[in-house]
Amino acid sequence: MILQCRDLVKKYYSKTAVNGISFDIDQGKIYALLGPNGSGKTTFMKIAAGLVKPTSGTITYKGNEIGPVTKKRIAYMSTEPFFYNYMTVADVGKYYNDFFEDFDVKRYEELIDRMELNMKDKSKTLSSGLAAKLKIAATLARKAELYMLDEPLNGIDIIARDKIITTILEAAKEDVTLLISSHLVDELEKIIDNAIFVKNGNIALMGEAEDLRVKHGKSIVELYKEIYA
Amino acid sequence: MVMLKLMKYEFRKQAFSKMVILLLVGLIELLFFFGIITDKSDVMGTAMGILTIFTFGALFFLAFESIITFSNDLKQKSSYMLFLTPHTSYSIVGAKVLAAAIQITLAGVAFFLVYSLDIAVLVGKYQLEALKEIINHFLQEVFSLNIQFQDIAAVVAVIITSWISTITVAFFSITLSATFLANVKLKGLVSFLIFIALNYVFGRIVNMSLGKVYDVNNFNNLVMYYSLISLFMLCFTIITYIGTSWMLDKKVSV
Repeated sequence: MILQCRDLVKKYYSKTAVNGISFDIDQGKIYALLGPNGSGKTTFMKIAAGLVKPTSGTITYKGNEIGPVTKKRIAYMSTEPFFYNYMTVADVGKYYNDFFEDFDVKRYEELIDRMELNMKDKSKTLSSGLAAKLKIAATLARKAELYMLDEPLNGIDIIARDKIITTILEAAKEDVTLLISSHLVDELEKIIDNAIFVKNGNIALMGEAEDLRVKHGKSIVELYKEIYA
Repeated sequence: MVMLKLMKYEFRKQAFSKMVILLLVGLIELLFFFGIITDKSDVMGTAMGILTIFTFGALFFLAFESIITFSNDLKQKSSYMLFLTPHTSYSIVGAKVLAAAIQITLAGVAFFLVYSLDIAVLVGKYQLEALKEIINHFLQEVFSLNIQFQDIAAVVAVIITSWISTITVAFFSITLSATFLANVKLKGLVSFLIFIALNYVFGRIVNMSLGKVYDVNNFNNLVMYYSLISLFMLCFTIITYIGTSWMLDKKVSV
C-alpha cells in the first residue's frame, strides 16, 4: 500500500466532513472515490494533499507524514480553479516547473496543445471548460507517483470527456496510482480497478470494482444509485 | 534557492501595485519638471507636496499589501498554488517576510533617490542659497562626525525592523484567526485586537527594558539605544515568524 489512513476525522465547526475513515490505497491501481456533494471526498483528498489538517487520526504516504516530502510525489488537482489571476497558461507551466522536480515541460506543451489552449491566454479569462482542461494539463504534466483528481470532468463538455479520460489513462502506469473523484460514475465505471463509496464522511462500501459487481450482482452505477438514493 | 523562487512569486503577485506607484511617481515628476521648465513655483510646490503625501501613502500601502497578500494566501483558492508546493511553512513565511522587507527597503531607497534628484535640480537651477546651506550644513554635520553615519544607519534600521516586526505580528494575528480562532465569531475583529495588543505589549517591553537604562536625550547613547531597539524588533520578528510558521505547519487548513 502507498497511502494509509486510520481513524481520520475532520470537523469544521459543528460539521463533521470526514468521520473516522480508515483504508489503504495500493500502488498501480485506479481508484474511484464516489459520493454526492458534501460526502467528504474533497476533504479527504485535501488532507492527503496537505492542504487540510485532520482533526484526529493519521494519514501517511509510503510511511511519511503528509508534508513537503509527500507533496513532491503526489499531484493533486482540486475541483475549484486555483491559479493566480495574473497567470497566463504559460505562467502556470513556469510555476509548476519552478516548484515540482517531476514536471515535464514538453508534456505540458503537448497537453496544452491537445486541450486546444493558448499559452498566452490568461487563466482568469478562461471558460470553466478550458480552466478545467488547464488544471488537468498542469497536474498530469507532472510525473507523480499518485495523482488525485477531484472531479476532473466537471465543466468538461460531453465531446471532450473522452479526450480527458484518454489523457488521464495515459498517466496510469504500473507504478502510478490514480484516485479520481466524480459524480459522473458511468464515465468512471469503464476505467477503474477499485471503488470507494463515501457517505456522510464514512466509507459506505469499498473494494475491487469487479468483486463488487460480482458480489452484489450490480454495476458500480447501480450500486451508486442504491447507496445514495 | 527555494526561498528565491518563492520570493520571485511574492514579488510577481505584488508587481501590479509597484507599476502603478512607479507610474504615479512618474506623473508627479512630470508635473515637477513642467514647473521647473515653465518657472512656475506654484506647480513645483504642488508637485513636491503631492510627492510627500504620496511617499507616506505608498510606503504604508506596501506594508499593507504584504499583509493583504498573506491573508489572501490563507483565504482564497489560489492558496493551493502556494501550499501544494513541496516547501515547509517556515520557507513559505520566510520568503514572504524577506520579500516584504526587500520591497519596503527598495521603495525607501527609490523615494530617497527621487527626492535627491528633485532637490539637486532645484539647487542647480535656482541656486537656492538657503536650501544649499541646509544641505551643506547637513553634509558638514555628517562628515565632521557631529552626526555619524552609524547614527543615520541606526535610525534607518529601527524604521525598517519596526516595519518588518509590524508585518510579522500581522501575519501571526491573521494565522491565529485561521487556526485557534477559526471557530470564534468575529474572528477578524479578534485577530485585529490581538495585533494591536501584541504591538502594544512589544512596545511596552522595549520601553520598560531600555527606558530606565538609557537617557534618550543623551546624544552619545543614540546609536546603542536605536541598535538595541532594532535588536528587540528583530527578536519580535523571529518569535512571530516561528509562531506563524508553526501554526501554518500544524493547524492551518486552506
